[in-house]
Amino acid sequence: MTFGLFKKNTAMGKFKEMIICNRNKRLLRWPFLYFLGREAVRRGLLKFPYRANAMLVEYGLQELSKAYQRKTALVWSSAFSPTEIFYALGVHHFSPEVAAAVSVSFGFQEKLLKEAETNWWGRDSCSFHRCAMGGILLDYFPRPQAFCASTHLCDGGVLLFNNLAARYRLPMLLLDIPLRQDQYSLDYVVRQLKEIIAALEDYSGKKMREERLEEAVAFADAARRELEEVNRWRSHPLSPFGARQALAYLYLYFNGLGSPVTPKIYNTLAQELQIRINEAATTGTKPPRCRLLWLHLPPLFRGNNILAYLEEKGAKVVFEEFSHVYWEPMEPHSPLEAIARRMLSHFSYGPIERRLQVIKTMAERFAVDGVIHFSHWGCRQNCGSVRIIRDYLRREGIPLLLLDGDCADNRSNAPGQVRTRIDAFLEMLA
Amino acid sequence: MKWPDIQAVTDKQESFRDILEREENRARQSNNIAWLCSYTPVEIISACNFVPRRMLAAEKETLRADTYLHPTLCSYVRGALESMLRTENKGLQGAVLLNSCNAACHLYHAYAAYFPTAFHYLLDLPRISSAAAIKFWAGQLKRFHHTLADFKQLKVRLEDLQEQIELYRDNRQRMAALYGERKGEVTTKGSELIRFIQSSMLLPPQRVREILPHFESYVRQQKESGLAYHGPRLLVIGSMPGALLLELIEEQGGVLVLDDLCLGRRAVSFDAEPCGDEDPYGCLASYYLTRSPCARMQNAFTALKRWGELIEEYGIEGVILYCLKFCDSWYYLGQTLKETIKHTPLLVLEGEYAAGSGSGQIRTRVEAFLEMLSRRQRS
Repeated sequence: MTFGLFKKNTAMGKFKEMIICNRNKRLLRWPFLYFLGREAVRRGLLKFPYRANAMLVEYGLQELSKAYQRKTALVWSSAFSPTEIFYALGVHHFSPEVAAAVSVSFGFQEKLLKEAETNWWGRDSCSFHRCAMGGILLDYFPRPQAFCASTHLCDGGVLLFNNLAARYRLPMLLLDIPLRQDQYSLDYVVRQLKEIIAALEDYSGKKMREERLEEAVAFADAARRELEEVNRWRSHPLSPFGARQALAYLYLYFNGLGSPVTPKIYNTLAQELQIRINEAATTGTKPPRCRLLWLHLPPLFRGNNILAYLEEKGAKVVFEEFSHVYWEPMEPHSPLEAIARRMLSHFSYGPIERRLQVIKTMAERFAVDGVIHFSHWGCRQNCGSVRIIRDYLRREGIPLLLLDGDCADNRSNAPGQVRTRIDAFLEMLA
Repeated sequence: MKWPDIQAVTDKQESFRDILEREENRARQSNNIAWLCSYTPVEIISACNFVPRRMLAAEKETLRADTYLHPTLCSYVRGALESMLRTENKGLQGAVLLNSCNAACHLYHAYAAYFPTAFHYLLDLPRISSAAAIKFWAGQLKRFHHTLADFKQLKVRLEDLQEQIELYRDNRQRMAALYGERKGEVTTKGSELIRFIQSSMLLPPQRVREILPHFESYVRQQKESGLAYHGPRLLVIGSMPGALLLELIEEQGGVLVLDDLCLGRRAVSFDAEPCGDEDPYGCLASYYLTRSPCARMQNAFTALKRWGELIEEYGIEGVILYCLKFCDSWYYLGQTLKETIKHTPLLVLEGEYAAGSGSGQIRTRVEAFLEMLSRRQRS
């Protein structure tokens, strides 16, 4: 067994071993654990590069604690679900895809993948979904009262939820997102949102209050504004905040829209970035030699060091596709329409021209020298149109590196090959 | 057993399979619109005076298609593109694809980007079958009809659409009825029935209506002859097994009684009443969204329960589940199916559409499965 993050003989290593070795899964359901974690963050016992990171960890622990304690109904939500309605209704939600990513970054993936693979789920499916399956089969992840998935972007998430709903005989709430952004689609999504809210009211015994929904949408809109501000600072040539630092914030991007905490965290981060950039300007810090844009996610497992390797070579991934604010400002007084518009506007869904246009916009805004597309094995949605992306970027004169690999499963990692390709790409850019 | 010669269809002495191939080639010369997913509203294509022609995958290597589509997309989609690239189709005017799955969407993107036909359309298919979904889908169908009619420079005539709806409804019901005959002794090969249904997706519906009575008559003759196939009674389910695989199962002594395939029974299983005075788009939307579901549909997971009843009704002794490599929809549904039909022996096969169907490994596994079923039959 590998212990990527913590050495085996340290206290944290033993703690991890205790969980990994299945000695005490109940520990995850122990509220005191989360209390201790939050206190450690508050008192500064754990060090973070940004104050916003500490707020993020504290918030994450609080949400996780609620999910495990199950004092109210718990819903499993897929990556792009309308989280505003969960916050408005006071229903806790748990994103297995995000939980899988966190498990991977802590080095827990081997056991989860193995469990899924011995129970049908072979290596051709998405490793995040296999981790999620392993997590629930091994009882690491809290079991919900219902599943809620939206059909964008990937098929795998919807199918995983359908499969689990059938397995545990639990309700499955599906939000079917059409490809086009028009009035037909808007009406269809709004009607489904109403049906989902009615079903959630039924399962949770809570009643949706209009003002709470408007408030949640206002928080989501505030989060959007603050994230835009963060991205504005990130586009600065001296921004110290790259993809390596931004990955943790995907938790908010997927799970936090509708929460009052999310805009506060983004706001803190934007302020910190402003201060750091000013400091860098006064100290004469040099900008990176080569600026890169990352498409899809980078590998998250421990021991992989693609982003660090790039930085060693003087290149920096200054922005990543999943931090792009793709939706328009949200109008809190028409909350369901606002949520529906956000759902319908995802750039990676529908005609490929939308994604191509967004890639070009990001490349220009962040003044990148090149683009890296990481084709995560098992992600049909992401990999499918790489040829079109390659041809488009070639026409636009933007260099592209296509990397194949797996974000979560370290068993297929080929670091030597990846480094050789990166070296060649950077040489070409130089 | 060879397919019969039918004088009424042709003056020459040809086998039925030859006749179908000849008809399919002839249909390729007419103005046609290619389609992939069995949820495609072919009635609208026919109502616009095009021949709707299903994209069938080549059971060959997909070397050219692989340059356009990523190798982790399913081999059926890659095979369909390969077939489009290799086969001469003089009458091809365009293609309509659906967002059936991620792979189908990417096929559309590749087609639209690299295929030089004048018309291409991505139709938005819901995953649910609620009243809201039917209303939405009806709106999408109407828009598609108007776009295609504009392309053809035709005026949209609802009477034409109603006529096509009725024609297809009748054809499908008659083909579906042929499965009803298979509850007792099986006297025609399952692969022949599937081949006929496949052909019906390549020909104009009027031609299918003309040929159908001859096939029905052939089925009746076979039944009257009393010559039945004996062997383990099988249900084949899953995503797109190639014709080679179906023939292999029959060669090994398996009797394909029933299937739940997109190229077979599922394509004709519509519990549809005549539309009457109803809005034809709403009627069509309802037909498609309430039909026997594909694995990508939300109700496919709940619909699995009926398989227990069908297995009993048709006396099925074994189930073969075929999962195309990288077909997530069937992969996830297949696991649920396995849990649902616990008491019936199940063989799970996985492979590529082109290479896997007739491979030695699959042959060995099918042989072993059939041997096990035969032993159970004897005991």
